[in-house]
Amino acid sequence: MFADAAKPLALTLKLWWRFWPQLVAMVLLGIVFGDLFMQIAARAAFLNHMAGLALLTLVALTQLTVTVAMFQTLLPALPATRAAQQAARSEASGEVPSGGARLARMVTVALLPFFAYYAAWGFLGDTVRQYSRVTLDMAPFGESAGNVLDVLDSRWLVLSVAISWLIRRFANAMQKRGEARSFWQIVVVICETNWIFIGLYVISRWKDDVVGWLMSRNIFSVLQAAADGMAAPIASAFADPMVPVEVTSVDTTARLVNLFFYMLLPVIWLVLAALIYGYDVRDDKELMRAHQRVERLGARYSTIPKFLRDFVEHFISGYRSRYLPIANGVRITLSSGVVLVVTLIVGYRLVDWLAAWAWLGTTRLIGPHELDTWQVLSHGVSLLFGSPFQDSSTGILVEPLRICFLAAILETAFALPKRQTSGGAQPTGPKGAAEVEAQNA
Amino acid sequence: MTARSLDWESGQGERKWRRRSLWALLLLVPLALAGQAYDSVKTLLGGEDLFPRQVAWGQSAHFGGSDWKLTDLRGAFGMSSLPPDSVPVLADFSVKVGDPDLQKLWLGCKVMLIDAEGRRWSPTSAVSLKAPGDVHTCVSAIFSGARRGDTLNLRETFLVPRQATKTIRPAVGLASERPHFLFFQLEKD
Repeated sequence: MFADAAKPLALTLKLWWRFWPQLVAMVLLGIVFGDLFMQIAARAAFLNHMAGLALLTLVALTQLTVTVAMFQTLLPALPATRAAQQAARSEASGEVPSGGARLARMVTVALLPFFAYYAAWGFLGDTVRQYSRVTLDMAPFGESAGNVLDVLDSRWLVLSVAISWLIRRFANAMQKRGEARSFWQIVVVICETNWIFIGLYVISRWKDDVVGWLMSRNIFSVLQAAADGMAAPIASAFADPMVPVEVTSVDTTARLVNLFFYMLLPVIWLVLAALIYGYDVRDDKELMRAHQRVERLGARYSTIPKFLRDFVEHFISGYRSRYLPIANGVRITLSSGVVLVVTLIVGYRLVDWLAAWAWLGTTRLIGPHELDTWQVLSHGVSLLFGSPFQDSSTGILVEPLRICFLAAILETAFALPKRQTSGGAQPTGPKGAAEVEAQNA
Repeated sequence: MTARSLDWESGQGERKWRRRSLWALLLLVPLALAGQAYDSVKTLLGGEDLFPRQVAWGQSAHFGGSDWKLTDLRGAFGMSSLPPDSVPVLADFSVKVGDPDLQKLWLGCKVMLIDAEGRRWSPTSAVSLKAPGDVHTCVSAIFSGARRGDTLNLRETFLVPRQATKTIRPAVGLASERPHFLFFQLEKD
């Protein structure tokens, strides 16, 4: 059992040692471009609030692209994952796009789950907070631009989404015509990012209004307690409001809920890693087999008249192919064995914990200085270890280690003897996954 | 193409990218650090008196649009009701106003004493000594309405440890000139 747990750890270090220059360079590129896009978005906000918000999606997209690229860098050192992809490749059909189109497709596959994760963990709010801080720095009393976030409450957002929908449609048409496909693929990705980003953030804001309105009707007062209970876990996962410590009390339920979300984050990241490596199913038979009830649901769905099914497919087919990988990702994670899942959760949190202590240790090592001097020094420390106090900051020593660890866990899961022997659990890649192999070759 | 040759080529590619990344780090680390710390460095340089500009005894120096000259630095020994081993020190300056926009140029005016160990003392209000009517402090001079060509007499009072009095030198910092500040030499220097 100990050997099972030690294997991914040893592989993590091996991966890190082999690829650290590439990984660190990518994290740095992410930081540089993230900062750059944030500045551009903030400056654009002074011209037009909506343009600023639209450009803000590039910040989130940068983070996603860097993550995808880091996972792809590690692929040559993951024989079991590659073998799985090879098996998928022999089944895959269609042409093999290269370069930008491949990366763009991988980003598209990971886009929705990534943003769902991004929003659920409050990072979307973090990005918007950083953005409003930057604009506030540029116009201290909001004198020239006013409140740059007021567009979030405006109904003009619908127009913004409509515009990106039109651009996406146009890009899709151009892509079908076969002109500069990778370029149009990237345009499609940016448009989709735009509306997911804006949509998710706005939904989270309007949700509060709707809930407030519902709660003001007395008939729903019974539901209030239940709704509070449901809303609290996600709200308290990150952006918690300040509460005096003597007023707080932590009961067992809250503790269990916190523990659940604490454990869920590493699992979600593993699912993202699995997605990026192209663990996908092209049809949902495998998933349907997972549970009798699901199977019955599938059977019932197929009895619906064809025209109705076509109508539904028209709307969901594009997204179904992306959500299925998530369901499958959860399945491979949970079927990987308890030891591996525990190793994942503990190891992932250990990396965080060590990073926080390294941050603290370094600050002690540097010692006391004046505040202004410390502000400068803290940027150096945070660049190394990521700041425990800043929104979604990544350290150049920690982030590569985290990615290596996730890849190592996935590799160990794929290399498990039971997975290799069971034919049904063979991962199959989307078109994009097969191309990775070709690229590596 | 055999699997072995593919492996060999991908190994070559990996080594090439490793080397390129190592070189890129030389550029990216300072770039990322500069991008992140730019505002803080600007605040640090704009808020701290870091680089002294030496002014010889009897000389005046152009600083914040005016000409600054140290006229006197002396201790007021023998005062009662002070902490033991502490001495009030008076620093007198004569400033010929060049640019009269003092509210902008003299903002954040800070007169201080610096000893040989680098310790700094700010003016105190714990000691009040009688001064002639036309003597200002640095901050009150900002609102004196002085015009171009006027000469302002400034005095700041400090309370320093007795043993530090041997090596203290007066210094002046202004927000418009930071991170540079004037560091005055004494007659004995």
